[in-house]
Amino acid sequence: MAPQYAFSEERFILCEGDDDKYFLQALIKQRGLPSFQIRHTGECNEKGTGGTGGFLHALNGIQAISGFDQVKGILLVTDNDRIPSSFKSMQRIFRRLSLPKPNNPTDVLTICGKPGALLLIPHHNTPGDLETLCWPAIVEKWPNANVCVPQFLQCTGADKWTKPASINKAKLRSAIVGNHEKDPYNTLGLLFKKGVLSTAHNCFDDVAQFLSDFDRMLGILAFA
Amino acid sequence: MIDSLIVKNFRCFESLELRDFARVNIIVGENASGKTALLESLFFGAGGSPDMALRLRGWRGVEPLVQLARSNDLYSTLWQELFFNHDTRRRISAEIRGSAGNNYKVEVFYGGPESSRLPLNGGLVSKEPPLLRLITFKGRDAAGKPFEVTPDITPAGLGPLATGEGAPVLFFSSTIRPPATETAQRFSNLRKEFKHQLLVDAVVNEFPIIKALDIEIESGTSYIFADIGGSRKERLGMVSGGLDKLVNILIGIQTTPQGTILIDEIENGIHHTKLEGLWSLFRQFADTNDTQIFASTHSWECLKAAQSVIKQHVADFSLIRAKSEDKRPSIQQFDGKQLLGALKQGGEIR
Repeated sequence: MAPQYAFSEERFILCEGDDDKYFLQALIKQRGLPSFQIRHTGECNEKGTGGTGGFLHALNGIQAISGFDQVKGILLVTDNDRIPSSFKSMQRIFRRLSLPKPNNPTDVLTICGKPGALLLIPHHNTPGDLETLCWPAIVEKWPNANVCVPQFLQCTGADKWTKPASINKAKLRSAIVGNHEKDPYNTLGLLFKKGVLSTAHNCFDDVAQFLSDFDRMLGILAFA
Repeated sequence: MIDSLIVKNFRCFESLELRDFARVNIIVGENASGKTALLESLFFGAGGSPDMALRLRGWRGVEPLVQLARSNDLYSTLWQELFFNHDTRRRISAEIRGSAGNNYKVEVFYGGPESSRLPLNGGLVSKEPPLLRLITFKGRDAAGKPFEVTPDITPAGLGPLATGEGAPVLFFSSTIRPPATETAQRFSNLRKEFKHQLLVDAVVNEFPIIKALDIEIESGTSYIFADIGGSRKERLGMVSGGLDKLVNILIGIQTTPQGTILIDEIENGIHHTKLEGLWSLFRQFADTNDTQIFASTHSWECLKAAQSVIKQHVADFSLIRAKSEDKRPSIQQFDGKQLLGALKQGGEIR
């Protein structure tokens, strides 16, 4: 039984799942952005509870983990599935953790005594998720996705699903399954990790800029 | 219960002030980070005296038998490791504050009276023995009485060594087991008041190999013996070193009501499957006897084993991490909720 986790970097990203983690790692690496230690909420509890609810487990007790005192800034990355309910669910998490509640998605926060920020994906003014953000890059990689996938979803009726997040996921998975013969089971995150998908597309520019501006935004320019 | 500890110029701590302790305080940190020094600070703060200073030397591996001669070098060797950076020009101050009986303050310093010129060995010394630069222990004991002692080397030996009444504290060193007779005496005291059965039941329940515990005399010395179902009882230390340690600590908790138990490297000698039961028993006994525990550990298994007990009694636990950065020790404190949260997410907390 070995302990799994300690902080070793000054910037820390907590996101919702594997896909976000691998995407952000690839983005940072490929664009030469400042380094962040990245963990997803599913890694932060024994039950593997990920998603937004997992933030509660992941932030609870984080101060006691070795190396936390060296962390200078924390970024929480979450899907903006619905406006404004996604942001409100993050506000509830802050309240349950007795942390100062953000009033706006762009507020500089105090998270467990550290400066922090919230990054809503694809954008705080645009509803959606990582799949929404990545779709232009998927279409560039596999142009047929723009034609075949909508037809497939229409055929199955998935385009009429009530949850937009589920439609987005179905859309993206269909594109991967139909275009990646080597391993149709591969997830979005793994395709970024393996370099099949690139983060060079301009649909990722805003996120890259956000990470690049992170220190300045939080007023923590004086990194050693 | 000890509520706060204030220390200056003691061991590796130039200045240290801690408060908000819990019923069970788990101390972690790398080697040479100050874990043991923190336990020693609590011990010294609870009853610092010349005698205690000499005992601390023994627990740190110094041979207990010191060849005394009337020399400033030898005399200062006895005390210099107490001082921050071995700087004996400083003034040590150690103080605990807490509930009744748990208040004590001691200051240790040179600069008190110089010793008189007492001839050693009835005048066998050809020249006059030198004046010693003597150390003074001055403070207020657990009963609130002021004390001031200045140990000197005299023909009768080193003394005086005692101060006043210390707060009730027991220290379980990682290397030295308490004398078997002392433990047997404590167990006997429990038996006299019919309080031993709780301990025996707890041990039998956790270690089914044990059928009963008793006091027997071997070569004129009292020991705790265990009935392990064979044709004769076995001395507990012969059955298992870990079990012997566990029983020692449980007896210590039971016989130190409203006091403090300090345990260095709690996991030593205990099989990992017993660690959860150990935490459960220690917390339960501490709660029943209003005793406070400070226990250090290096072991992740040991910490992880505490998780379910902490979950049930989160307010009873705290985490204290000793750190050393650029050779400067620092202490971080976390409450039971933070400790539990970190454990639940597999965080490295040592």
